[in-house]
Amino acid sequence: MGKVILEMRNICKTFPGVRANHNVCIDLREGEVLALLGENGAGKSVLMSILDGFYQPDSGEIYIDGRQVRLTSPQAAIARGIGMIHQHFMLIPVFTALENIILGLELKGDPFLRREAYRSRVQEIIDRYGLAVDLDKRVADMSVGEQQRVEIVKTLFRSASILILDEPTAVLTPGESRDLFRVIKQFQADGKSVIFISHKMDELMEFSDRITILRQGEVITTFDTAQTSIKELASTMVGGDVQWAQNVHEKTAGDIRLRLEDVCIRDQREVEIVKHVSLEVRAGEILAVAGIDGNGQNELAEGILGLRHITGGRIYADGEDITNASVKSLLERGFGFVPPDRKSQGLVLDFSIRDNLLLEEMDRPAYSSRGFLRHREILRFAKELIGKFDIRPANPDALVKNCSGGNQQKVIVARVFSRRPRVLVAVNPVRGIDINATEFIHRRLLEQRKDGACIIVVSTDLDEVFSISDRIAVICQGELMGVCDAAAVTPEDIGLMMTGVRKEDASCG
Amino acid sequence: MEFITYILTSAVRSAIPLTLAGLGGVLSERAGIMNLALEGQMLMGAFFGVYFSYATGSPWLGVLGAMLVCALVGLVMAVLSIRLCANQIVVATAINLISVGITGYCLKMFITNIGNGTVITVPSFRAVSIPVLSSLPFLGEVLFSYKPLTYVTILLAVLIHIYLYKTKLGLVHRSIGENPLVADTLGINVNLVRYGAVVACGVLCGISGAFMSLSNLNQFQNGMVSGRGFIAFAAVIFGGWSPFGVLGASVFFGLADAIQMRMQAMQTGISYHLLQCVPYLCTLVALVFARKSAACPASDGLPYRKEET
Repeated sequence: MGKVILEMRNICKTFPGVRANHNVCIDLREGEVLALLGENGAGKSVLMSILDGFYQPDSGEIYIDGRQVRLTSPQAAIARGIGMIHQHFMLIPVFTALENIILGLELKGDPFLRREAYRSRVQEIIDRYGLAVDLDKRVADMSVGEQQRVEIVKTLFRSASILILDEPTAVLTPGESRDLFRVIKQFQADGKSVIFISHKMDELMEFSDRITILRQGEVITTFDTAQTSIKELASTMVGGDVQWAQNVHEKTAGDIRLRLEDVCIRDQREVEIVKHVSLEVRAGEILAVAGIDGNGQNELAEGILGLRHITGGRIYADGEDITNASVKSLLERGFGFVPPDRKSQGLVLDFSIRDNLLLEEMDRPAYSSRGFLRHREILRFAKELIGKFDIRPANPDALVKNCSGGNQQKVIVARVFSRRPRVLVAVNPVRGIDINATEFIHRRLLEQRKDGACIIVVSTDLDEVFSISDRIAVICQGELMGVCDAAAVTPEDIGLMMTGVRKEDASCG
Repeated sequence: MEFITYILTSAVRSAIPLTLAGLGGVLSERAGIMNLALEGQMLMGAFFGVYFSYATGSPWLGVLGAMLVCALVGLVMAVLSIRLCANQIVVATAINLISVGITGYCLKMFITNIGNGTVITVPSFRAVSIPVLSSLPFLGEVLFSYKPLTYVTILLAVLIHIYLYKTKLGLVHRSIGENPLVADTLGINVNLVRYGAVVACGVLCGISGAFMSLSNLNQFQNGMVSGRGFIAFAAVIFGGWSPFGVLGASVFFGLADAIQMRMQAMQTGISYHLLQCVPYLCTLVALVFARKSAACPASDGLPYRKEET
């Protein structure tokens, strides 16, 4: 193994309320592929954005070839040979590949854009690494895989010797992924180093030299890939030694209230993102849908709630067919939804707490008559919910955008839960909020269960899944890997199933 | 034949100020600043063109003065919308309204203090007849018998086309209108380019306004731009945010204007109030059929704030 060319020492980075990185140390050797593994929010992307000069660390040092450097901007990083391929590509869709690759280069000197003068130099890189890119094609007309190759060529053309790839295969087909790893092998052969972030364990095992695991902003350990196993990685990633909060499984489950039969959903691009999912959820039960982000779970939730067209299969509530029913009729039926993105889907940020609490209630005669709002009643209603759900500030007229994430989430939860939903779908209900608000919302969820609600919690966070659910359904690439009893399964097994191992093969109960 | 010649030459005359302001709009919007203040800046250009032409005795220096004043107005717009991230539509509206006030006040001062109460006609442009070519039948009149700024305008359209599509800076300029974050990660000074674009737009509006007051009327009248700035804005969209597209769209609107003026003169019995609406109706119809979002810079109108680091 080559010499160490990059070192990050004691990197700390805090965002308001979130400790993204704490005393993180990693090192990278010449010609090596280093993988970063961790759950969502473990701090991998922030760490890489620091290395790319996009964020500045609060403290800590970065050394390249043994010399300390300050990476104050992405340009400073690329000048040191560090180039990052973001999950969201930094490309101009209406420009051709060639224009994107040479954009912003050599602005001083000859003012004219001589595309042809660059073409042979760019083509040389394309040929050397076998990156299939049509230089005259507009990026907007390209597949995601080809766009990624343009991004890679752009970075290489700026002489990057350390390449950072943030979940590069998340958007690729299996064939494109194989091609990408062939390209990465070629970098290695050229003495270039690669850091890549991935959730897909089989990829990590096959293509990386070492694997560094982060959890809650800290480096847990680094493995030599040759001397570890998927099982060890999974348990280290989710923290097998962590005591899972004990969920008292009161056997409250009643009749089957929601039934999904062979549900399929295709998205705008006609790609099937939910494939033949069949599930039953009972009254008084919490079913968790676990999975790595972007495996179709959000679309499934939207499908159940009438927000997305079901393209195959049926959904029944209390035995009645509600497939593709209108949102309004589902709300009247007692469906409730805690959406994945509170800021864009759950709240009107520029409204007050009171007005946000009112959104689903304003048609009730108690709060409006003949189209006019009854402010006194509404105020009483808002104050009651603020007290009951401990929303801070306890001022009904405070603007929601000025509340912390936890309190914003409480506003949504208060609004939805106060209607005593019969079927409740909550997507990542505690994402990005602090531990107290998390505990609070989880207690409320358990209360709803006790009241006999039928609850689906979609979550990417295994801690959450285990602390509140009765049963766990695991989804991977739109397919159900299996449904397990929460009391009879280990986080390791769920972790395995999240990466595409079926229940039968995961040896769980 | 005489009718066609009249329509064509008058269409070109109407099209020139639209083209000039529209070219400014292209520069500004290609850098992501939605510029609805063409109208106000043209009005300022129209007045200060007259003022400086009177003060210096030369219409060329009049145009130069108008350019400088409008560059300043553009700079104000730039500071407000780029540095302070103010809403670009509100800023533009404010500039349009303030321009009416400033030019109205200045005109009054100009007339009372200098003209002793009468409207002053100032030194203005004369048509340049290009030798030989201008004496060609038909073509001579339609193509080669205009005021000098007409030819300057066409040259500017060509130069701006070359800038946007044939230079490195032009590529950078267009990338900023599409996605400033991409440009920023490549080490491009996004706001510097945006400042340049908005100020250049002011300069072009200055020439446009000065053309209106110094090539046609030789004097300034209150509100004389009367919505042409907004038609120029429409020409930017109709012309697909490209210099030659704006030129073509402006000629189209110019034709509509020429036809309605001719109809007024023919005394068809249709109220001239209605006839005057024709170019504006054409604008509406044209915009409906314009290839909508196809060419619109993706980040047009959005302020760019650097991410907290």
